Amino acid sequence: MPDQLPGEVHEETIGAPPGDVWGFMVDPAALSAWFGADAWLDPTAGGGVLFRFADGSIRRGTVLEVERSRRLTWRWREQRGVGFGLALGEATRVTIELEPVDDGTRVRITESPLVQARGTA
Amino acid sequence: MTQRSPEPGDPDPVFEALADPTRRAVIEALADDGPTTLSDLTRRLPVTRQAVAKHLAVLQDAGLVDTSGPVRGRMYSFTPQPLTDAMTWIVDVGAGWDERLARLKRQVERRA
Repeated sequence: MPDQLPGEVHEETIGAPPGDVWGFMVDPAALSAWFGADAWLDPTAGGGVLFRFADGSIRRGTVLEVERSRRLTWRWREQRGVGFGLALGEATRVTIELEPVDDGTRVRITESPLVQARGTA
Repeated sequence: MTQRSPEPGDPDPVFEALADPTRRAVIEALADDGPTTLSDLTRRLPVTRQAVAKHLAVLQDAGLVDTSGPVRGRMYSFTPQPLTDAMTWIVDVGAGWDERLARLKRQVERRA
């Protein structure tokens, strides 16, 4: 597992059970709608993630962990241009945690820099 | 017409300016063919000289068009920077996690 640095935590409490919120993580159309990007994600460990943003930039990566209705993590990096003009952004890890609370689900999202362990790029 | 001096990066005047098909045609003409006169623009667009002048004034207010030269034979040119600013605004909106979480909340709760 790559080293992980601390990142900023974003939280929101949503008035629906974790199972409902989970559907918005793994359905590409629902994911795209709240994400604000054309999103595709294969919700299995090792599956691909691909986000196309309005500015034409692309973020591509790999699903790291899937715990249904509890936890989804992926790593991704920005990719601009193609061929010799290809520029890669810094790789980060996105962690989405769903926790059942009295009034629904606490959603916690953390994006943190990913220090690539040698040989796993 | 009310003259306003838009804040740098304020997208409102730009979006208002772009909301009209003739004004978009004026921008395209200026962007494609470079600086030109009102008479020349009028020849290339299916509207009256007065209408083109009015649209140019709106575009100028939005910072999308600049003028040079004397009143007679004045040249109008396209200045694209406000478009870039407006594009940045579009991209920045909702690009952060807090905006995404707020949208997720609204969309989940609407369906619940």
